[in-house]
Amino acid sequence: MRHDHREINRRNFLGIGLGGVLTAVTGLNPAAAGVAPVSANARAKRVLVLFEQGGVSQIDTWDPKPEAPVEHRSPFKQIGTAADGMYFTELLSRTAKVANHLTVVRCMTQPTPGIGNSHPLGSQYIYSGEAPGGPVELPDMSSIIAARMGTLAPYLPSNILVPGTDEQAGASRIGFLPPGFAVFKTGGSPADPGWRVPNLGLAAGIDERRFKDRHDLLNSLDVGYLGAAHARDADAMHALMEQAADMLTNPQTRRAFDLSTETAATKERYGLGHRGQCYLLARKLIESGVRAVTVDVREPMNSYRDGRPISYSGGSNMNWDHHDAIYSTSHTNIPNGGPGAGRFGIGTWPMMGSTDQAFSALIEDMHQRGLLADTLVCFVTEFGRTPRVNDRQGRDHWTSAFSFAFAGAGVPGGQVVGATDRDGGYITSSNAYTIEDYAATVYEKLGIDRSIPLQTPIGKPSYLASKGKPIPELFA
Amino acid sequence: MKLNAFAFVLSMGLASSLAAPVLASGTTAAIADKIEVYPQTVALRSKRDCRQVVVTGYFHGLPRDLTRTAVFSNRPRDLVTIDNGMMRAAANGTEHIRITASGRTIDLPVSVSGVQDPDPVSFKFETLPVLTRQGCSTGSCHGAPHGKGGFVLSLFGYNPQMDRVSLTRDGLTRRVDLMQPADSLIIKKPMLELPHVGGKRLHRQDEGYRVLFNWISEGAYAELPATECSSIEVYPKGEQRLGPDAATRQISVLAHYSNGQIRDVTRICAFDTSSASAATVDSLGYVTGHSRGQTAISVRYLDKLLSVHFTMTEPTPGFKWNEPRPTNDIDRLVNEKLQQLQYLPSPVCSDSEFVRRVYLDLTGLLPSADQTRDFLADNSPDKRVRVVDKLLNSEEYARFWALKRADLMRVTPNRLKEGRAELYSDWIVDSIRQNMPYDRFARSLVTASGDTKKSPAACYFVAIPTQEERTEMTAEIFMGSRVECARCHNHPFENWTMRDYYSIGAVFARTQADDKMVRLASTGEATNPTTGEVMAPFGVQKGVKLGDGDDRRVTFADWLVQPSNPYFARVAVNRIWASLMGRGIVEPIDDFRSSNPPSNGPLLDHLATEFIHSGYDCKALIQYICSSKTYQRSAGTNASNRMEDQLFSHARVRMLTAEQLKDAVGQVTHTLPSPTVARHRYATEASFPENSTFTQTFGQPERTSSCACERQTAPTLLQALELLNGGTLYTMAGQSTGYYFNLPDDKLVEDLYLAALSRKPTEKEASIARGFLKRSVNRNSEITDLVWSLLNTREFIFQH
Repeated sequence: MRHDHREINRRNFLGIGLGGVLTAVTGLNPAAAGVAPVSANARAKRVLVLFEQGGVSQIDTWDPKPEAPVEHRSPFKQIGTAADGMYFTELLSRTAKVANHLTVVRCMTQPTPGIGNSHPLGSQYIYSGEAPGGPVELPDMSSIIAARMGTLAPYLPSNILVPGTDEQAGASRIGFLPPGFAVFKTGGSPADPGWRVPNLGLAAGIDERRFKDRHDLLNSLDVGYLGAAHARDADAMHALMEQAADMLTNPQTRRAFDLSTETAATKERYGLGHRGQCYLLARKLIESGVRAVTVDVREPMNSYRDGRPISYSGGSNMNWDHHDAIYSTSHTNIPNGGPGAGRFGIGTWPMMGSTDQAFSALIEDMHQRGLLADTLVCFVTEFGRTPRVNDRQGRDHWTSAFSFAFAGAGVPGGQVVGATDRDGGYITSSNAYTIEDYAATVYEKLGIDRSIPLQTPIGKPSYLASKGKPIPELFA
Repeated sequence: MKLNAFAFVLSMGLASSLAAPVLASGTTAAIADKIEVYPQTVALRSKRDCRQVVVTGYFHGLPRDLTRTAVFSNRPRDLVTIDNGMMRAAANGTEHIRITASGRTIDLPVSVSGVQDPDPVSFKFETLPVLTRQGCSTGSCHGAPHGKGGFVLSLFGYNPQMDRVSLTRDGLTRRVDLMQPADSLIIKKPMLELPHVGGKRLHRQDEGYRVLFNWISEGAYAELPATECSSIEVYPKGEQRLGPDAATRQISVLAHYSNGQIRDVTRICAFDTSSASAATVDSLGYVTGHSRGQTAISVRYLDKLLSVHFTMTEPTPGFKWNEPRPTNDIDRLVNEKLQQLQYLPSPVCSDSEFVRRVYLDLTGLLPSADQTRDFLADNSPDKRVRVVDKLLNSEEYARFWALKRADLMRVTPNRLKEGRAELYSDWIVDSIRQNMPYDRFARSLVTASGDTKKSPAACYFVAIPTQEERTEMTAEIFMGSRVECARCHNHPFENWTMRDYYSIGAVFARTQADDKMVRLASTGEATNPTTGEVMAPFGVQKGVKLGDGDDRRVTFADWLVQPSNPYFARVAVNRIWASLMGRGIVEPIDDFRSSNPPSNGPLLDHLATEFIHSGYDCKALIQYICSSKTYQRSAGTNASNRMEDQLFSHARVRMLTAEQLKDAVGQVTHTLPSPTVARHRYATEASFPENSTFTQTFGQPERTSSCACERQTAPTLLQALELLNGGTLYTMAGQSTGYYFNLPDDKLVEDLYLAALSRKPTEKEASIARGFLKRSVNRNSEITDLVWSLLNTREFIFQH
């Protein structure tokens, strides 16, 4: 009965993608923890999560319900797709053409609805893959993946959130992991021609030449001091500064974030708005070797369309939380106010219009580049929306049934998993899957051994997606 | 709990016997000065009764285990069987067994009775401990909240009722097979006769196999008697020494029960080591030392846990102790440990190192260039003591040390509204400014009531509104104990039980707080959720009954701050020591438990004793530590102590904290006005964390936890990026030209070095810096770049 984890926990962690150095120090990667035999299920080297936050209406997108009572029926028609027997609504008409790469899971559910039925907790649920509120809350899945798997590209952070704003401050968390594994947020909007990643592009006024001058001067003055040569943290900081300096000047780092290296046709294919360019940046980062990329778009009111600035008047909080006027052709603000104010109707360009374009472009593009072979792509949301339209012409939160879509890394194409009733409100299939099952799927695809626990600072073993099982239909 | 708490004191007291620096010598063939046998008589009273006998030889006064080489003779009647010193009953009778080892003999009276009577296996006292010993009920196996593979056991058997059902009823009752005991799943799986994810955990020759097999054969009788295990007794006790010639020791474990019975449980308890590189322990309780170091060998039986501390020494070729006279008892005790483990300490640091270190430690700020110049120019022999005195009486000291305390007590406007965070923070600052005795500080907090604006200490309860948080925070801050495990199950590495947890909860069960007021209610209890038992408040003497009008917190505070409390003073001095030395004597500083031993027990005891005698005077303790050579050692290492980082043989190199770094950059760039003008602009002096991107990146806690570990101290890539390319440093370096622009280059470079590194530049550094400034392309950017470069050196970013 040896408690090796306590030994490991006493070590200081370094954090973030230092490749070999990192993994040797943290003891968090499988090599240090005793690796399980690589499972045939481990088809993914990387994972890309498209988190469309706010609760995307399942019946207006992946799970059309043409037989629903007319007063509650979606106005968007059911359409066929490239895959036999697979139907979406017309809001996904471009995605329908790439359906042969997708498995749509229509039987997602939150088993304990009270837990994740709010946006902050629901978002944390998606980020961590576990219902919030336990005695020890798990860190973000992306941080765990970074900690367990290390990096494919040492000159880049191993887990990145696109774009990442203050809004995720509560939901995205590093928890008990060392801070180096905190997700790296790109910030801003990649659709903005002047957009740069803070602290990754050289600061304004510092060109490369001046940076090199400074760095040379620093190197000649940073001679260390008595004892520093043997001080572990000082050594670690020195190595990290070298890595950071490399990131700041390494053309590969900049190239990974530089959308100007993409052709105009590619950019247009994704859509020249905030969402499209976020999706495109995510593909670039995956292609550059980033282990875990999460896109959490949250279209800003002052955004971009067709490459030009646009202000979505009345759209102050443009997520998918369509409590009011879900089918509005502009903003959802109703007289006397409602809980869903500040959104834009689900059928508008900044919502499903740009989503359909960006997602279909992403799947097509990743397939053409061969990235789908070893990248798991997940299109997720924290819950669905009510099958009934409320008296404000909106749909409220619905945790009983909602839809996720998956592609890549061995996920079968053209497959629908699970089914809901005539209204799209309750699961009628014998299978139903939870967000924990989704998390277990991601870990399983990446070959992360869930039987090896994480260790909290007090030495408590904490298992990954312990209440979940990989969704079997995604491993066919 | 209390009993073991005193055992803890006892073991610490015995620690001083380790002072002798001599190492064992001689070979195993040598004749021992004497041998000892433990116990001195053996009385076995039933068929399966057993007793671990330990034979120890003394060579030049040092003990060596001889249990496994001893010869047991003069046994005409074969009353017992003996393997590795374990005696088991075989036949009734008495005899004197002769033990011969290392040329000495000793007689052991042995009596055996009752072998003719049935002696069934006890589910509660044998089966469950065996499941812990074999690893079945650990947190990573079936003891996990949802078990493993559908088989759930309570963690380390804390819930026997649940385990009884799980073993004898669940799993289609296949876990035990009364007809064919060997076919039981709990035997076949760990024997790997069936696939078992947990691997091979049981062998036929194990005592565990015998216990499980017999228990099932006898009908898997799962009676749960009211009797409890009241304590365990471990031999040998206290601090033990191992060396190359005496690297092994046998441990013997007795369990005492509430009905007066005593049982040898050496073969059914679980052993563990805190440092396998120093010494390991096998399943028979046999300890083997490996390489230089210290370890706690912990012994677990049911919810009882005790540790024996072993120090393994190894002679280092050519080691010669060269340390000059100690300044005070701190140095003496540190040196004794260093000498014993053969590490040479580093010399006392230079004035430059000292002045930077002591300013950062006591005020959080760097000394200014002028303060450093004055200190370096001062030739009086007592200048180090005087500067410590001066700093201890500064406002910066009060605020910086208040920040450390406030970090743990969740002083943030998120929790304390309408100016209460400021009032509470001011109260803490004032308590440090006035040097309020630490026992009074603790008592003021845990017994505070009233209007939180008039009695800011009562914010203690507003910041942590739930009974659980109050229990955990109070235990962590003042007892250095992480009791949160015991909320749901007995603590896996310590004696904290659920009963203890809810007893502390009972202390606070009647304290009601809203934003404005903290009131005492006349009702309110804490209930152990597993048993439904309503708990008596922790700290109440046995037999004493509190009335409904009595403040339970006062009784608890009496218990907490009494000098005999094994935690309070030790935890306090350990925190202060860690602030000054960069590492606690117990580390982590809030994880006191017998299985996590102090790296220097006598030193911790000494500091605690001094602290108590001084009337819990924090300033006096800081002055005492700062005047030691130990505090003043250089960060430079020698070949002997290079890898040593627990025994304080050299100063510890550590990164400035977020607040120190932010203010240091402000000081060096002259972008911060003097503290007396604008104290609120100093991160080290603020009432609560600014939590800017910069300070968060460097690990400033948000004050959501009472664990000192909330402050992250490990370097990260984001920090490196922030330093090399972040806006804060860049902007402040740019603004530094306002101060440095008109200085002549010589003075500029010297001022900058003194401000940033508290030393003058070397000739070479000065010439590089002057050369850079002389390029005269753009003096503003040259100064900016020079300042920026110096702020990015490790010598600046780290304290040393």
